[in-house]
Amino acid sequence: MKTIVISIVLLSLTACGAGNQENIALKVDLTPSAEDIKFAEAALPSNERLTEIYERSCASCHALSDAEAPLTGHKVAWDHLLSEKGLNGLVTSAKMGINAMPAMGYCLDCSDEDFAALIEFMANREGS
Amino acid sequence: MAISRRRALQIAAGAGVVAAVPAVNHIRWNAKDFTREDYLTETAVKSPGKQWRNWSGIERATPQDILSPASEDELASLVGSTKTQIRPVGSGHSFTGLVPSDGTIIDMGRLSGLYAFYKASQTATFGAGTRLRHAAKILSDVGMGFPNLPDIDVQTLAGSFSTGTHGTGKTLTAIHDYVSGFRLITANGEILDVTHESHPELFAAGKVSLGALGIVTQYSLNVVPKFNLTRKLHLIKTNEIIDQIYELADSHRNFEILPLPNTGYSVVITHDIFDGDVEGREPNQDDAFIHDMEGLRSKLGWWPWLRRKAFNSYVSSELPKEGPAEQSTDEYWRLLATSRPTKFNEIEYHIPMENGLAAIKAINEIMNKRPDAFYPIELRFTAQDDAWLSPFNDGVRCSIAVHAPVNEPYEFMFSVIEPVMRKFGGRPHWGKLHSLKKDDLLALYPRFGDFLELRKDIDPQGKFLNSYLGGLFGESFDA
Repeated sequence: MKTIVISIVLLSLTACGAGNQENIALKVDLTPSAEDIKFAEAALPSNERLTEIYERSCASCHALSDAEAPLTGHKVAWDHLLSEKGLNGLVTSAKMGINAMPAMGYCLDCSDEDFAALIEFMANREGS
Repeated sequence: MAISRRRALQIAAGAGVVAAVPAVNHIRWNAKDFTREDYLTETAVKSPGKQWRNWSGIERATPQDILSPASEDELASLVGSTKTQIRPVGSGHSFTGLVPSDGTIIDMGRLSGLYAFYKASQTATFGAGTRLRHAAKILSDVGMGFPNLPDIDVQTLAGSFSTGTHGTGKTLTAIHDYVSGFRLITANGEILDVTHESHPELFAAGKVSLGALGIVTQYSLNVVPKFNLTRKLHLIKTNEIIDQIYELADSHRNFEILPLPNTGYSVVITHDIFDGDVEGREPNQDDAFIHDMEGLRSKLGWWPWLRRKAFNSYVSSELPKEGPAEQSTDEYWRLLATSRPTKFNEIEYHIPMENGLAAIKAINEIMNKRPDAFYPIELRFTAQDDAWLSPFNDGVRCSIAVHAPVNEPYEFMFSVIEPVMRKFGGRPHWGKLHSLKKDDLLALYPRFGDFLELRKDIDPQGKFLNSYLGGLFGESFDA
């Protein structure tokens, strides 16, 4: 009986492991390169008002790879998010908070348009 | 490290499970849901509107207004004319009820950036809403820096100073001690420039004020030439290192130890001045490590012996036999602080240094008896300063912190951890969980009564109070 139970445990763990590998295989590699990290540290919006907001509210996390937020200018990561949620969905995430980001993303004065413009900048789509 | 901590821990946990015999216990433990009952209620509110929540989500408010004034004059006019209660907010990183108000919440975010910098006197004036990382980066661009930083750096200057936020370093004071002057908007909208010379009592009370004296709009800060550090991380058996905390605090600029519950090991992190060419920080694995500690808990929490064995096998097989597990060199602000991707709730008490060792041993023992515990305990040192409500104003203190994942129970912090912290003479971190009230605080802080009198003088109508501060100050409050 004991052997059977152990086998079930091991089987279930093995199954979980196989599932994880499958998921990993399907995932897009969202790891930023050294070049991505360097770009994110220096990038600023072209619009002066947006720069002011970005520097005080967004850069502490989105310009820093350790924060695990999608990096500014890391197009692969943002493409993935935009395909999953769309721009409006990402604006909603900023307003509601997601993962480590609090509701309103450290910008209590931001409008929906501000959030959209900041996301477009960070997603490397400014002016598009 | 050649292999990531994540992969190695997964291997270790897997090996542990293979060795497991009482499979029923394993299955039962794996079915356990660690989520606290009220967590879903907290996260269920889905309309931001005029709602406010703190970073971890346990404090919330639906005020009449949340305003973000763009200038000091606008803020002064607003404070002078508004009839409701007012509470200022920085980044919302406090776990206590400092911010919630039914009246007006004032966001300091737009009063941000460098206002003035004087290289000769090594002073800089910043908007009070500037976040620590933003301020550190601005200073770095002009060749300057802060002597120390806390381990989270998205807080605003006002929020972190006002709650006595600190880093670690036996000879390094908490960050509010860098303040050489501040500008305060009082309840009637008056603007006061406050220094030790102009208003000695208000200056000593205002550096750590919980935002209860008025709203600080800008700070003048003493800064230092920027510097580089070398950061070393070791994993060492707790019983082999814990008795050395005082020597380690003496021999390193910044020292902290993080006992890992139910593993028998501690993470030891040191920072020291580095004069060579920096190589940059290794990719941060801290949060991945915490997730894997959680995984180890979830798989093997039912058998403490096996859990320790699994962790020990990870350390033995994957970490260097000698030298640090991680080593980095970089500018101080890139090493000392992060924005902490993983959310948690936290209690922290500042213990007189002579009681620090006994206290960390007692807290570690408690956490090792809790099979659900996996989040690192933390011990840091902070030097003395002279602010009236600074927890460090009577000598060097050891700060001991216990964390819980944001979605898991934290009531034990009040029922189990806090009594031990108090037994060792601890003072609570103003921004972290505690249950103390006026009488407790009067006994802990010689100038607490003076602070209360000064507060009543400067804000007799209690415009800057909320119900939480009413409890701390022993003042009836109903709004």
